[in-house]
Amino acid sequence: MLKILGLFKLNLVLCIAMVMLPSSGSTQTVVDESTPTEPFRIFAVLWRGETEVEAGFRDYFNQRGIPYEMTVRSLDLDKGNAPPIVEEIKRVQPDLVYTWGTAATTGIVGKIETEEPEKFVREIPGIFVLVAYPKSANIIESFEQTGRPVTGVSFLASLEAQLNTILAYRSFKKIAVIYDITSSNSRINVASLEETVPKLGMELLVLPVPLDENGKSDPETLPELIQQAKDDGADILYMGPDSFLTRHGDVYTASAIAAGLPTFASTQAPLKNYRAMFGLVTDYHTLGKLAAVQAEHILLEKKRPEDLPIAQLKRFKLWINMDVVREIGLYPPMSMITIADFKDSRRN
Amino acid sequence: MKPAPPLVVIDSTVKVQFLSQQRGLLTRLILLAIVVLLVGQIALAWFALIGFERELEPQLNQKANAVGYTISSQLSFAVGDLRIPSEKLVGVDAYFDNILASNKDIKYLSLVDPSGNVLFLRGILPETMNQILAGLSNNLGGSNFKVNVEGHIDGSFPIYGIEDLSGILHVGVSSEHVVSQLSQILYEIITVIIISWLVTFEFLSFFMGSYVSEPLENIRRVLSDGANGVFANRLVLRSRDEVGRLVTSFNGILRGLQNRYNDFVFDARELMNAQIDSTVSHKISEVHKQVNEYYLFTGGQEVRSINVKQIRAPLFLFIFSEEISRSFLPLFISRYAPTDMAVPYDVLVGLPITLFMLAAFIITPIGGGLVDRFGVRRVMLAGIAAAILGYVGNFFTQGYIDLVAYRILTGIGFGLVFIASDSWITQNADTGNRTQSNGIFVGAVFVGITCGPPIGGIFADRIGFESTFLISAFLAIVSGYIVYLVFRNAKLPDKSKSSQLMLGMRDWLTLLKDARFVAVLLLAAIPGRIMFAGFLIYLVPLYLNELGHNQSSIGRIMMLYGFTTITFVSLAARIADRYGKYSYVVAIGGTITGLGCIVSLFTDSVSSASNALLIAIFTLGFAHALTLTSQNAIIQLIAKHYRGTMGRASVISAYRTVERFGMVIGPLLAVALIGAFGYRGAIAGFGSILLGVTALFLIVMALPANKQVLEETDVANA
Repeated sequence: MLKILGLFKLNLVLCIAMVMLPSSGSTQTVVDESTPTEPFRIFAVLWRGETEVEAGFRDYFNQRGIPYEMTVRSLDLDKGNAPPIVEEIKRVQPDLVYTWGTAATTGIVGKIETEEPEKFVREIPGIFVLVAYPKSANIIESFEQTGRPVTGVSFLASLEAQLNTILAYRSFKKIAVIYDITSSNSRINVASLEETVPKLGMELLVLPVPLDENGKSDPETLPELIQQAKDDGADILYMGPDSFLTRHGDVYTASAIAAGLPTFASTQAPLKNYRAMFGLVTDYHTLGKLAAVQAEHILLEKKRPEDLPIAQLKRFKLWINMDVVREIGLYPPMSMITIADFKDSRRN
Repeated sequence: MKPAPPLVVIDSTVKVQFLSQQRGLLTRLILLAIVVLLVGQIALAWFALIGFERELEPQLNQKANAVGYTISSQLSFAVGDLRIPSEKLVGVDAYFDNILASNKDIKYLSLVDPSGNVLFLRGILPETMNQILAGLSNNLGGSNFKVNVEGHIDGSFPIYGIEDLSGILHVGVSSEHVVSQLSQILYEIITVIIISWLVTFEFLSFFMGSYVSEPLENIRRVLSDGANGVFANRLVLRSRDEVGRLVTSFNGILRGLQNRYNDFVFDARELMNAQIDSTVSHKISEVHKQVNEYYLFTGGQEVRSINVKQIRAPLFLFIFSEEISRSFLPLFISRYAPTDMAVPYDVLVGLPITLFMLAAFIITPIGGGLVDRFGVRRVMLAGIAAAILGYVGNFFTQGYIDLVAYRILTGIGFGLVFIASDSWITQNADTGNRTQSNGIFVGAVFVGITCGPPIGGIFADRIGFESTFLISAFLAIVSGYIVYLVFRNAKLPDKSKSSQLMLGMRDWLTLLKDARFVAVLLLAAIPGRIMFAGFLIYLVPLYLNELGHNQSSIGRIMMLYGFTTITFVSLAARIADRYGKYSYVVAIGGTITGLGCIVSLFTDSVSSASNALLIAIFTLGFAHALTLTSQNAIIQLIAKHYRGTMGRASVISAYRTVERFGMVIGPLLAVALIGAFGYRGAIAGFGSILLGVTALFLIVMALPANKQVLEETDVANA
């Protein structure tokens, strides 16, 4: 029963994708007349529907005139939806498997070591995007050598760069990080914060989100946690790559503004969709293009994914929400004004 | 019968000679050239500077405008678009500081609110800014420049808020920076002018000497022989210019006279043979004999224009080529020296200089043998070729090891050229003026030492260290070309002479037992060379670089050494010769330099440290001028003492060879001193060592036995 429901959901997502993206539909063929080869077949497994990353990926292939067909499936925020997709991939045998996020990647291609390799796609070349900590999540051996036919793109600015951005904004003293203890990404992130923040002369306040009766993090507690951070003397909130917080970004950022605390975000969503004050993030479209470059190496140049190091962007976007800035009253320094991108409802 | 004229006519050069003492053609020509050069150069420099200055103000305005518009647009974005109240702007000081740091000619930046209150200000004191504001009219439209207090040009740029004016940006430009750049260029122009004189002088003397004065002098000699009845000589000169044609026709005349004499001899013999009366034939024979007694037409010599001085121009160019890298060599090495080796980094920086000197030192005795075998010209060309390869190699330097290898190659070339030049002077000067001819050698070296560093510094600032080595290579090539051309006239090497110079083991022992010889060597000559290689070559460029001087400036300061020596050497020689107290002169030199170095201890700022270094370099140059002639004189007196047992030239040659060992240890001593005491302490350390050895020198020379011998020979000399 559950399985059927899952399939139903999947098809629904596919339908929506086809409606919403007529020009870049779920199955798309671009044929370059000069290269009469069969189009490359790419199988994309996403976490919550299409994002700018896939648009960037497609733009690159279209601009380069590389013929391809892209089949898109979404896990729809549930890792339990992975097994039927694995079956489908094994059946159609695409040229490349594209996975979005840590959950989709571990659900489809699995970790380096697994006792049940038959439950994952192990032989077909794979590319992942939006995996915050691929090494800590045991998806790859190292950023230089993945150790398996999977490679990817890294989307986070280094923690040092993020913390230096925070310090360049103001000499903040105490950073509070509220996190979902059930997510490995968040735990990894907090561990590296605990190591790096003191080195830069700041204090770190760690506040795990309490669990509800189902053992899941309870979003209801977020406003209290933020007030607690404020009371404990934190002067800035750090939002890492935490999908729980991203899902509840509206509550989180609204509470932060109410408490008069600025929020720094290391991913795009809290800035784009909610009201984080500033952040150092990757432009998803550019990231998609970078993933496409990796894919090009594999498909056209026939390089083995295990020979391709994880690609990293050189530049990140400093994003400042001026509306939030004005509400909190912490104006950005001149050095940032000259380089930042602004979100500002009052600008013409 | 008159004696036959000398084999070779030799110019008698006096001591270290920079300008001929006689008011000859050369002197006038050089004076004329320098006057003409000076007028032209000053005019050119003047126009260049005037033009520069005329461009200055509009350029400064333009600069202020460009910077002002950029900053004001960014401030307007923050204030107008982002709606940050101008008084609440954050990080403006750091932002302004950043712009000031990268635009040296912008003196201040200030953001003032519409009512005239200074919100943000960087670069000058608030009082000064208030004075400037008071001096400005309230004209806020556009950018309006007005010259202001303290030579600042103020530009104001309006910053508009949401609707109205929310502030004014003031950009102040100052001429200070441009003026300092102008004076830097002026210094460089003056340097180039001085060096162009020296080069002009070197080459005019070379060409005049080789192609005019010397051939004319030879003609004069042959003519004066003619006045004594000697018509047997022949002039040799490979030249097709006016002088060459004169020599050719002169030789024609001589040949004509010789032919006529031969005809006369033939006729006389014919006439004699035709006589029956023996008294008549006896009379004819008597007349013939008398003619032969009064005139000489056969058995003469070829008079060549071999001039000891001819070595000077190529030698000068060669020294010039090596000195080009003088102002930056330790810095160049420090870029390549590895930091992760067992040997300390500083030693690795000093080592290539030491190895260069060592290579030159070791090759010298081998070079002497080579000169005997292949002749001066070939050995010299080989040396120059090795040096050129070394320079080109340093241009392509990839790492420390090849840098060192090419430096050693240049060092070998250097040693070969030195020994070949030395042999050339020995071969072409008779014993009487050999030491005087040594002045040629020293003169060429010091003019090269003067010209090289500043020119090299100017190039290094503009084209980089590596490329400047190509300038060295070019100069060495020209030097080689001159050797190739000029020394074609040279006769084959006199095989015996060079080897005569080598001292035997027993002679060495005798000399090393001579307290005076050892004292001059160890307590005066070697310390002098240590100062040159350790202090001037190694320490000075590194220290000046640390004090913030650029390469042009370092080169200019180093030029002071050679320039001082050249300026004072003739004077010092005359004074020393007049009073004959050579030991005291040497001691005075050591003391002056020692004290000059110790001055460094009493410096506490960058400018005073630079000035102290100038004093030390000046005293070093002055002392070298003082001691150069006197040390030589003492050695000559000692050599005279051993007359009969060993050749004077050999003693001097031995002395000069051992003396150069000071250059080998100099850089390493400098490394050790700097490591232990820092730069200032190391300079003072050099000074203290010098004072110490000078005191010892005085004591040794004042010992009755030594004094007596010196005075004895002194009298003999007089």
